[in-house]
Amino acid sequence: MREIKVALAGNPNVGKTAIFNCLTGMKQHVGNWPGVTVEKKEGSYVYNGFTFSVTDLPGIYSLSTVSMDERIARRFLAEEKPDVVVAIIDGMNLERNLYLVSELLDLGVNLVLTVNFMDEVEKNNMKIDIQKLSKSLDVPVVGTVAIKGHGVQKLKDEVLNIAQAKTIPMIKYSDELERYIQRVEGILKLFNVKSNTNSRFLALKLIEEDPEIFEQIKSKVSDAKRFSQLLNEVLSDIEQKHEDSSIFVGDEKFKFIKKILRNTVEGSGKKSETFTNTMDKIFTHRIWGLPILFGIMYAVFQLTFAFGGIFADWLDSGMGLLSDWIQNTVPNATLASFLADGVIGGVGSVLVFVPNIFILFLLIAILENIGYMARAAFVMDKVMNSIGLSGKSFIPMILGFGCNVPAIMSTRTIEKEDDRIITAILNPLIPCSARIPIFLAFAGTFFPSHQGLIVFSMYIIAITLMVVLAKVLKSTIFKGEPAPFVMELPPYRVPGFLQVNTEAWKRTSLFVKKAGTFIFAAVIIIWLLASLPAGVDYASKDSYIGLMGRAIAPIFEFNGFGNWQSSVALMFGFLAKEVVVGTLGALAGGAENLGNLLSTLFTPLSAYSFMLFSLLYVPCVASLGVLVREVGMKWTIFSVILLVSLAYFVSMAFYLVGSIFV
Amino acid sequence: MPLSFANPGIYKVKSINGGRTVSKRLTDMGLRIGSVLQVVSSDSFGPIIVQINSTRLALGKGIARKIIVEGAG
Repeated sequence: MREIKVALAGNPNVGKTAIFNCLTGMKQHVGNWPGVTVEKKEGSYVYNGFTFSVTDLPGIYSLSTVSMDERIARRFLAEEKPDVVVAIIDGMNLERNLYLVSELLDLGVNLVLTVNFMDEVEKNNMKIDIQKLSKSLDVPVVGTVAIKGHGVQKLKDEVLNIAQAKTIPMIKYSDELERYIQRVEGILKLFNVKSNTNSRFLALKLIEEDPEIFEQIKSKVSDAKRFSQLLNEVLSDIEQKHEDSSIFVGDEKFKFIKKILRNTVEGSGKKSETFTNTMDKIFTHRIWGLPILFGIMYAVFQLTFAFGGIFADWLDSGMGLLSDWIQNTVPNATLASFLADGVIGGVGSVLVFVPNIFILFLLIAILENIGYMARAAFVMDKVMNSIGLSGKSFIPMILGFGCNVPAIMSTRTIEKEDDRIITAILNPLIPCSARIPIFLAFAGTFFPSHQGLIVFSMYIIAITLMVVLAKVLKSTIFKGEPAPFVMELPPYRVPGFLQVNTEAWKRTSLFVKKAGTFIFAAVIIIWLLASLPAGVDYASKDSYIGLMGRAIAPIFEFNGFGNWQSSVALMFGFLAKEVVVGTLGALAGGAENLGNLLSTLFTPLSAYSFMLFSLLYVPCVASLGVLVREVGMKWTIFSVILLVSLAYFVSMAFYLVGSIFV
Repeated sequence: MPLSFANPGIYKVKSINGGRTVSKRLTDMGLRIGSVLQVVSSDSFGPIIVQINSTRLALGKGIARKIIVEGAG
């Protein structure tokens, strides 16, 4: 039995990911800001005895190559040749959404059209004649309400039907444009251009003067100069009658779309606009917009730490009881030590912070689903401009508070390469949720009465340094104007309770999974190194881990934490930041002893210095892997050197200056 | 007049200056020469919000300066 390859394509924010979830049953991350799906995601389902593998492509506006995610989507469609492409469009915004559909039809794919948000269409007294739409485009059309799963069964039927279809529909443009298409196709034939993309699409893109397609073809032809010359003849013929060949093609497409819509749509969606209008008057207010943004961020911070802390304390006491119980009941001393010191101490020290992390992810999910993220970018545009970036660079910053990995991937929506690189390589400075355990463990031990303030200062320092570095990079290596800021502001939508919880839980469970696998493995190694060679006291300076730590410790002498335990913790912390606390917890012999160990190793001054170092150096192996993929090895190495030296010198400067006063 | 100076109201796009990348991106998002748009919020020193049919766009001041509009009612 053959596997049927299905790709989902559509504008950002049309419920593509929700359709993906309905089809595959896989709980994918759904958000309400343009560009959530920055990486293609895959899943599969079985229907009527066939297996369908589904790829969710990034949200795009066209098949041109303005930003990186568009390039990814286009290459996938043109080169992987999926059997069926499901184009998902927003029923409330047909005109613009159909533009992408027209490009897909030019590409010659087997298309099923899905009109989503049919509930909103109805609520706004609009009528879309699905049958007529289907007839005039010559493609099957299904109306859906993805979030409720309505219409998905029908969609599966149509996908199955069209997978077996042989003919591929095509849009016929005006005679004039068709003549130009024929001429360019003729040129392609003349030069015997072989491509796995259909020649009609190539011809249209060449008329639009798409730089990527042009270069691609030019490199294939024998006489590039002659080819360019012939193509230019066509283009100058067009430009004699029309201002610009790409605008001419765009106009043709919109003419085609308007003609279709005239017969298929009744009424216009005005109602939901007034709600969005009112909300935007508040959230994007010229004066109040920024204070509101900071207020929201402060509330997120407070809820994460103060509210989450209540639950974390319960868990902490629970861990202590569990550890005592193990010590008293497990007869074998080595096994008891392994379980209590290693497992509970290492993994447990990290897991107690799950409530904080869940709340943080929940709040980020709510902000995304409401549609606030794009507004935050809007409000911050002016501020970001002053450091040479656009408001779009702000969204990866907010996402970074959750986890730097998706945050770095989300930089793909930034249209300007320089700005994308700056935003990506500085993103590790944003304190991700994995750093929360470090902040809380240290602040709780050394600054119990000012815990909130101390943790808040970490965030302020990280953001300040990031802003300063961005400004420095933008005025030295990456000179130039900020990337053009164009962003869709999606309508505000009430987030589904289940939806945001699933998202938050999905991301939290990754954290828990990491604790159960990766950190667990690290902790076993640490426990072994702390217990060996045989006969040595557990976690003493003569154990293997003690020897390792003592070899590194001297370099941190002037940072205030020249003890071997910190060195080992920082070293293992390269894997992931939670491991810093995990290591210290395992060395302390249990989460409940962590505080005691810390008090013997640090003074408040050196503790803060240690927090600074942990805050600023490389977040984890995973984030480095993503950086390599997104910006290449050169910039990743640059980023690592920058972050590590920043961590080293900032914490040293703080300690040395601080020592004068304390 | 450049869109960046336009007060809230209805306008028609006369021309889009600046690079291909910018004008292509705007076309793809539904803002084209001849489009009728509504300036929802204006700010000569910062980003503005415009509405074209059901699409609400945030435009940075750099881009707003390059879009030339005329009043349309």
